[in-house]
Amino acid sequence: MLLALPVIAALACSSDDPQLPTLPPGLGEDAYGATGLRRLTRFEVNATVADVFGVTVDDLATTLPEDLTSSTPFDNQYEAQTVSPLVIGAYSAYAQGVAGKLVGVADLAPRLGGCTPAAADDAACFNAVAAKLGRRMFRRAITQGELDAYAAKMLPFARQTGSFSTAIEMLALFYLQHPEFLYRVEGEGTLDDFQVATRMAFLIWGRNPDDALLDAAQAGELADAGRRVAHAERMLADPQSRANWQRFHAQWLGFDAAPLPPTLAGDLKQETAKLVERVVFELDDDWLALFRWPETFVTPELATHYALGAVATPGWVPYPAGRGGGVLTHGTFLTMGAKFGDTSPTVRGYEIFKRLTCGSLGTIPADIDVDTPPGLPTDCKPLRYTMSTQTGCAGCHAITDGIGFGLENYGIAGNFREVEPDKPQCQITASGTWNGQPYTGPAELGRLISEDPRVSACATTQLFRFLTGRTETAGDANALAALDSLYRGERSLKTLILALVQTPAITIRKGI
Amino acid sequence: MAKTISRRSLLRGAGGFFLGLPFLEAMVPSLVFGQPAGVPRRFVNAFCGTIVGNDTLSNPGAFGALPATLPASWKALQAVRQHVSIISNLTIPTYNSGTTPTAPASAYNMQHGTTPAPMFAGVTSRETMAVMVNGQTADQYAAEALGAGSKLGSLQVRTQLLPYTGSSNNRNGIMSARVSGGQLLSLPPVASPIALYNLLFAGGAPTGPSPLDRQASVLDLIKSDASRLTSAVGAGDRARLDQHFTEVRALEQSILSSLGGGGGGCAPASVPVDPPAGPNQLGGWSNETVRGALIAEMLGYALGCDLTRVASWMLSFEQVQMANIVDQATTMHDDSHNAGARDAVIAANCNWHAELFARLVAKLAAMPEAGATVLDSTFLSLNFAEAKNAHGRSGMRHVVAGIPARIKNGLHIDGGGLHPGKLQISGLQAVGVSTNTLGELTGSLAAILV
Repeated sequence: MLLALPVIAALACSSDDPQLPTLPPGLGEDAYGATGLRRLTRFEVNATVADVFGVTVDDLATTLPEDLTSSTPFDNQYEAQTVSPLVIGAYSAYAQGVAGKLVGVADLAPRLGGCTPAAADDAACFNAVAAKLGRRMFRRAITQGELDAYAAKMLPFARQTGSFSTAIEMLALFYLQHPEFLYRVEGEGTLDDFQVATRMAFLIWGRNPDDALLDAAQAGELADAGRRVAHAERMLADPQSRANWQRFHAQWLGFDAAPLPPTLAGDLKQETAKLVERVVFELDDDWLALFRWPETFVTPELATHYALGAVATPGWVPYPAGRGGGVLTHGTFLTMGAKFGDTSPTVRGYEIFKRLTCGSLGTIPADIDVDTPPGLPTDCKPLRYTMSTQTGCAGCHAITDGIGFGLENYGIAGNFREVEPDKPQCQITASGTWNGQPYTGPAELGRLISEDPRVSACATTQLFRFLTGRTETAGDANALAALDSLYRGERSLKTLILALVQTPAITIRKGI
Repeated sequence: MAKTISRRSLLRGAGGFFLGLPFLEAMVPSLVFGQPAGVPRRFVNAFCGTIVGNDTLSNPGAFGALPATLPASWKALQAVRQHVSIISNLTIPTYNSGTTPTAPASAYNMQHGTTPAPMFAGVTSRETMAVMVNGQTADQYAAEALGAGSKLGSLQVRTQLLPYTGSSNNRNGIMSARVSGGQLLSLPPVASPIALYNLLFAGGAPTGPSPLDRQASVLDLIKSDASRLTSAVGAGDRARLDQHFTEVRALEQSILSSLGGGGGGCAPASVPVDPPAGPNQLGGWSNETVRGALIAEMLGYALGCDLTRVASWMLSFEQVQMANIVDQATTMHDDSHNAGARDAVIAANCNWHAELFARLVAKLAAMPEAGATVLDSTFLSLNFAEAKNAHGRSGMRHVVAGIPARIKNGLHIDGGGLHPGKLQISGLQAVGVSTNTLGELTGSLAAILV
């Protein structure tokens, strides 16, 4: 769906810019609603630092303050971002860790500032490094007055140690602990181009803008929707957008926290990452085709795990007839549905219902023991999980168990099986129900899910939560409806992202 | 106000701590507690995210004096037996999804992760593991009463580095929360020994010339931007930025104090080195044994040197997906669901937690303070997420230690089926907090009070 925008334009050509589609009314100036001051997450800090300083900092990620979540599945929820001495201490430790990695790095000044220092206290080279680093870190141009202040503080130390790298290490300490880096600072009302660039970069890349986007901001280009969309298309084509959208899907679908078998964890994560990359980026296919994709990317070990036949090298293999279901049959996703040492149709169904419809269920009767496996241990699972037919239980279990039973061919980590564990007499039928409609196997379930309007509304709501770093409110109803409408017309996540860049709302800040 | 000490006293004192020489009274605050009034009182909660094992593994025997030989789950406590008590028969009431809990401070029955809220905050848990504590925790009540005057009002640390679920989002790694401005704020812990060192001992590793000076200079520069930044944002954002700058100023002051020789040198003689982080996957391991020992050591300094008077120490995450301590072939969580087949491993896992806790108890017991020891003014508790079996909320066993003038030490005590949150109320009372409630709970666990 790379041509999605022109298609929209052909359908509705009332935009001032004939190159751009007309957005639904809900994606007007108010579309982003009000959000408080947002601090960078671990992912965002580490990704930015790796980009800007060109050093590997993965090992320092756990030094940073932890990202807390509560009402959304995402790590960037601003309401959960608190400040304490420990948080400040963690940033201090992280900054020292990064500065420590710069010690002894060759050609630091040429790479970061495009200059070679003539002396330990070379002011001109210091200014060049500080200005270039500062623009990348603060996401704006650094003034001469600021450069002078930095030089006055830091060059004496370089003089003292006889090393220009001391000044660079201090610049790193300074930028990394500064609130202007740690927070996305915005005033209220119309944003300047640098702030718009920042919004675009964090939406698409989950990190600070690159030099090209900052150049566009400095040139005043980003007030123009057409230029914004052009840059967004460039950014979506850049491989670094992949990691950010993997992060989004992993947090939405919950497999960022799923315990995976150690020997297969890398293969399982790769499988899901490849699917997201193929559907969303390579093919720009229907976003919800993630749940009905007919092939999967496996290693030889994973092919055995899924009983997909022998493969010699990692690659895409088609599912046999009746199987499929994209993410629905990935071990990353299925691992969430375990209980009592095996899969639980109830837990698995509940996770799918909750995450894909954003729905909630009713109550469990007070006298129900949920810690004891249901039924007789020797019975087959359909005879044990009978809650969907019991008065008082059926309301919820008809939903959850109906979903889960259709995926019983997949064990805790997605391993394929024809019969229940240690019960060869218990043949699995893979029959289930989704929203009252019977289905057999994950391929049919995936089709029902991807066509369900509740799922598209939920997916676009999750996108909105990720965009705004908060839970939606009643005031966001128009924007949510517009996103869902746009998705149902175009079916493309990329189109949604471009619309969120095109909307004038990206240039306006409503404070809390 | 913390007492300042000379570099000479410091060096001798620090040597005493690390090298076995006598610990100097000059190392500790001049005010005294216990027998003489005024010594800082201290409150420490530790948490283990798994089970204690069945009675064969964890029952110390008849109520009364602890036996010389403790069962397998508590072997490590033998060395500090005179300072600790094991409390059996504690129970958290439970409720099922969607029902209205009938008892105060109930735990959701269905999964792991729902006992810290009733245990530490005395409130009924939510039906999710996403937020472990949904009320102000006992340590934060202690911090309100005891924290003023120390460098950090309270300290949160964690030994298990990663959740080992593949997630970078440590949802179950929080055990402290406080109410501020009408909102409940989760307090994330420090999980890196080097970060803890930096936080406590202001400036951290001496990796080059004048690292403290550099850091102080940088912070001074950052601080100078406060008015420019805060004036550029709306009122809602300004409060957040103001708070950030306030903490930056505090960090700078702490460093300047160190540079001036004003007590900042009460620190371990050597800078810790973090063991390498292992893979963040099921059964991961980042040498938490070494990490735990380093943290115990620094916690000892933090408490003994009055850098903090309140600490929460998460030894392991709720639903511990970390490798077991015996052969690392399974996770502690998996072990807890396989009682019988893996009893020896379950006991070893529990004992691993007990050993780290015992290290801290031993450290505090070795630190003289006004004719007594730091342990004599410190209440400690080791709290287990679950009882003898996975998901168990009845027949729980916890451990308390310290402050013998108020808490019974050296005993196996019958908890009488009472709520373990009441243990926290007793702890608060022991350190002088005037309260008989915690969240929804009222009344202490009188059996542990002297």
